[in-house]
Amino acid sequence: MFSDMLIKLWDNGIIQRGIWETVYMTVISSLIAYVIGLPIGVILNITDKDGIRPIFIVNRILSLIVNFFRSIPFIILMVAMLPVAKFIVGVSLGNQAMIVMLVIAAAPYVARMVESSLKEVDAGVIEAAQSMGTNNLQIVWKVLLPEAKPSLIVGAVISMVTILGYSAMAATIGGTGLGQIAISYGHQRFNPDVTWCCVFLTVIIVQIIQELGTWIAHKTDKRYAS
Amino acid sequence: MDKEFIEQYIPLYSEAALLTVKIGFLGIAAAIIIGLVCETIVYFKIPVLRRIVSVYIELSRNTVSKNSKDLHEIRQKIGMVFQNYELFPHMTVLDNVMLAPVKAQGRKKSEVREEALALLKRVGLESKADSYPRQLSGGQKQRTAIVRALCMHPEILLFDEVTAALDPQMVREVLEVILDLANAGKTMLVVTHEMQFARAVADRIVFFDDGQIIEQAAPDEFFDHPKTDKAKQFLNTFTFERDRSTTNRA
Repeated sequence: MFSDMLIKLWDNGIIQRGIWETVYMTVISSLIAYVIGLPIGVILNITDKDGIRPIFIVNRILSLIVNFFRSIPFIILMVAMLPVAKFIVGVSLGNQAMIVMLVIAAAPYVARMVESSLKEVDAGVIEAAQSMGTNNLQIVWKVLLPEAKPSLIVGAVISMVTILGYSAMAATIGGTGLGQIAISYGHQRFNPDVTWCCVFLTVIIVQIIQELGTWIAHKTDKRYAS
Repeated sequence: MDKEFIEQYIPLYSEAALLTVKIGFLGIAAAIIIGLVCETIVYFKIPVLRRIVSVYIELSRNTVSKNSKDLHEIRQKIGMVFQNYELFPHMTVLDNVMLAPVKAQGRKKSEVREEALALLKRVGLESKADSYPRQLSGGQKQRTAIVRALCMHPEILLFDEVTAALDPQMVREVLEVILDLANAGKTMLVVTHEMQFARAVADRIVFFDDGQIIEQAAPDEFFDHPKTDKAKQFLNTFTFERDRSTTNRA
């Protein structure tokens, strides 16, 4: 039923390692992307003309940078950013370099996600906080972010799934993980069942991320959850 | 917004020590008057208001600057209650009340907590302290909002159409809280369409139309002997007469 290749890959633990590497790359990249993207998203939101601290020039410049990176297709961005990866982690191959690429591609995406989540926060609630004399930092920490939390978590799930997709693409220039197994063992050596096995495993990983994220988002939503 | 437009409000600020209830054909007047109170300025994010604030500063040569730190301090002295409650949905009632006194005023948590619970008890919400806003009725939400404003120890309280979104029986419970505050001598500025309430509670009625002060007087005088046509017309919108003879004929 299964090809020899698939059985051999499984027995040698290559598929298991692939799963681990994919998950590892996705999680680490998402975390770093959020460390960079979340503050950018917050700044984009509050410096907007409807934000709590409108600064046109800051908003414009950040927005341009974000748009710049968002508009480059990932496969091209990866190749273009090879020297950057080499500069940051010392190599341009392997998972460490791929994480750099993923972060560069995902952080602007995350920033936009965060920005749109924060935009959903009811303006009246922010006005109420302002009318009580809280300063902007307090509004961000105590109102804006907590208020947007469920939406931020849903956004994080979407971002993570996107990053997982990117991580498979990274296999084309030397990344590892399920994507690399699917390409080099499945596609290039004509073992469709290896490819499908990778697809199946990826679907399961995405499902787990999605279900977990939805569950957490629902749990943290004090507005409607019972 | 020109100088004359602002100048008409200036007498109001000096009289704000009285409980003032305003009636109007709504619109922007409510927001404007709430934006400018006493010798202080509330700075809200409504573009129109922002312009008024700067004009007002010019006019009065007030020492209050547009510096944001000053604004935070001014805002803390002015309590606001909104038509749509604007409670923080992710916080319990108690946290809603405690947020600003603890964070903005930097008061001690235990002390604020005690006061918040006492205030909630005063408006009959002590059992709801750990509920979330979504679990409350409209009237309960609005009373929570009033407590939230009170806990800041404001020098003046502003009510912007606080009963407009409520059912009649809930209107009552909210108005009773306001009445209670009036009896306690709290300075308040209330924008309302509740005529009987305004007449009963206010020390002074200011009638607005289209952003202009049309008439101001003591409550009885305003309701019994309105001077301007607009005020007469407005008060007449609440009386209805039907010609019974025509229905009988049919």
